[in-house]
Amino acid sequence: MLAGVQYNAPLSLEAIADAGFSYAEIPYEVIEGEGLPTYEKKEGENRLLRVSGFLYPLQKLTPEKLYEILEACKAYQGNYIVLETMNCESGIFEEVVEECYGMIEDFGIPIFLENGCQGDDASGYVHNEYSDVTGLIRSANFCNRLCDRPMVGICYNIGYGNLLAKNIRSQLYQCREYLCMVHANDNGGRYNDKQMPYTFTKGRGDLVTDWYHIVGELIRMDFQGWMIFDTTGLFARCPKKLQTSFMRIQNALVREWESQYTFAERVLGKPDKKLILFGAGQMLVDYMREFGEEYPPYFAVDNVQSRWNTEYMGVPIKSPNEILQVPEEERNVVICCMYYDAIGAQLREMGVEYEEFHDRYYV
Amino acid sequence: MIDVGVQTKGILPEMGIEEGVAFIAAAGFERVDFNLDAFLKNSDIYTGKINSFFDADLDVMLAYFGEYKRTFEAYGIKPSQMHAPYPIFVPNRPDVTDYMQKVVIPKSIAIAGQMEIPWVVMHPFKLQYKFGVDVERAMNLQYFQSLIPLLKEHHVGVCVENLYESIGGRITEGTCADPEEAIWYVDTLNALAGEELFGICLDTGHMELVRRTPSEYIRQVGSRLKIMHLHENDGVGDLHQMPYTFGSKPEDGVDWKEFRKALSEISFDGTLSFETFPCMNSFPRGAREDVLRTIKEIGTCIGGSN
Repeated sequence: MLAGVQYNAPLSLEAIADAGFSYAEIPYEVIEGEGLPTYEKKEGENRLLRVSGFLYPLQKLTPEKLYEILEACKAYQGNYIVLETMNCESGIFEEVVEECYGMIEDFGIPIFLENGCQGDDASGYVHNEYSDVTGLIRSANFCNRLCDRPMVGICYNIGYGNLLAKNIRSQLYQCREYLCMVHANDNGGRYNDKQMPYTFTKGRGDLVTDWYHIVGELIRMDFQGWMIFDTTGLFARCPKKLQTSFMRIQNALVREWESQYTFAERVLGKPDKKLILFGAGQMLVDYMREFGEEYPPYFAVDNVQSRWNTEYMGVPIKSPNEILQVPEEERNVVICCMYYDAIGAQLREMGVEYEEFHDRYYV
Repeated sequence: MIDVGVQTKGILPEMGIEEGVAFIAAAGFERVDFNLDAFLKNSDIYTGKINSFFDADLDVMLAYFGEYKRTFEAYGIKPSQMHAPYPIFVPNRPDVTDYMQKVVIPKSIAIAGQMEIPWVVMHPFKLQYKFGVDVERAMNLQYFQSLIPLLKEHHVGVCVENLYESIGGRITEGTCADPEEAIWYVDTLNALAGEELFGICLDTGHMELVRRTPSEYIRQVGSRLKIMHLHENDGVGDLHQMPYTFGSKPEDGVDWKEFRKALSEISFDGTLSFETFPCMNSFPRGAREDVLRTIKEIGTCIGGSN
């Protein structure tokens, strides 16, 4: 996936680049205002920071404004325009498109319609015409039928989905043929906090946003579009000197998600090795359901002695010591249990290298 | 310069001693809050499911935690504080209460002494909704006073922490949420001890839940403040997440600038210790190193060292 961060003051472009991102999404109102600030590269720094695209409120869109934004997008070598639909009346997009579809085709810059809501933090949020992907698909189809090729896709904003209590995984699945971008941010379902993913929890670390399933759905559909962190709330709160630190976490999330995309090929696809799973519990069930047919394990091991010399899900279960009976160059050991740290320590003690299977993305 | 620390829960003992300490050191921390409560969880104590960890002979336990001490030293980390297992009083379970007070806590103090940890956080009994505030205070005072000889023997101090209660799921103030009450406990117990053996642990997340301001609390308690539990939440649940990760306006959440100002006013020279272990659970494992490093950088930033 192509990853970037939505820019807005007080966030600095330098912090975006320092954290390892190559793209910044720019609200077009920044260009209209003081213009895009200059990105100051550090001495010796050769990383490029590019404009991924522009963001603009659909409520204010006119044919003239659309032309202006398309021109600017071309000038900045942007890749798309996202139209946000918070507090937006229905019908505006169709009106503009009816007049401009030729222009949209000529520019060739895709437009993404973002899901939105009606309301604000004080009064609360309710559905509008663009809150459910069915409405977005309808509007996208309206334009795409007029153009000679599909020019309109969907951007799904996870935070906005939370505000309306949507089943986001299901929303993504429903719009999978149109999904071109995800705006990643988090909230507790009440206020539009635009905070970092994974920070809203219940109890001690249980997520209240379905992040693993959301990313799992993107993996399942082999989503190759844009993943833009829309976490302006975090940067409105944190001191400037911490911007890069927090952005580094977001970049780490991108690397983590991308690693899951390639998990099967990278970790399991080793036909010259014997796949040994550590763990014969629920996660083994999940593994077998997702990958068991294509990547069957040679055997599984477990620390629970009563499970040794039995079979579960058609997989022989043995003592962990049996791992050492398999020559090192033939082993492919994968932890298939939630106690990754403890089992990892056990395997390291045994001198055994290993990978980890995280079923939360796949169940 | 104020040091920055992090709690060991979520890292130790899960990752193994060497790996876990190395993980914390790699993130840049100089200090840790050693979570002895990770070895006997509060959720198990409340339900009476007591494991056998604290049944071991004290010598065996001291030898075990000696390895922690040596590993911390090897990585240049010094524990600033320890969190004792809690709760120490379980209503309707006199057997569990007895075990906690007569076995677990005394051994915790001995372990802290051996590890040269100066302050141990102990949660006061939470009894005000069952027996009233006066009974709660009397029982807390009696128990903590009984620990004085042991504290003197092992050169360890106890810090009381601001807590909360819950009525029908709604959070309310608990013991020491009011700084006046925390001051009363500490001053009374120190007078009984004849020396400074008791102090205050400020928990910023608990403050948020009961709508109090950490900086005001700090100014009131002054030098009685010895250690901290730093974290933020959404004002509804005790989420123990990183500062700045809730709200969307500069004025949302804890005012960390004012917090730091208040620490300077009382000449605080302790540790900014983060109690943010849920970040180890909530973020994917692939992001944990960056999360822990960011927590350290938040501490350094709040402390004003860079």
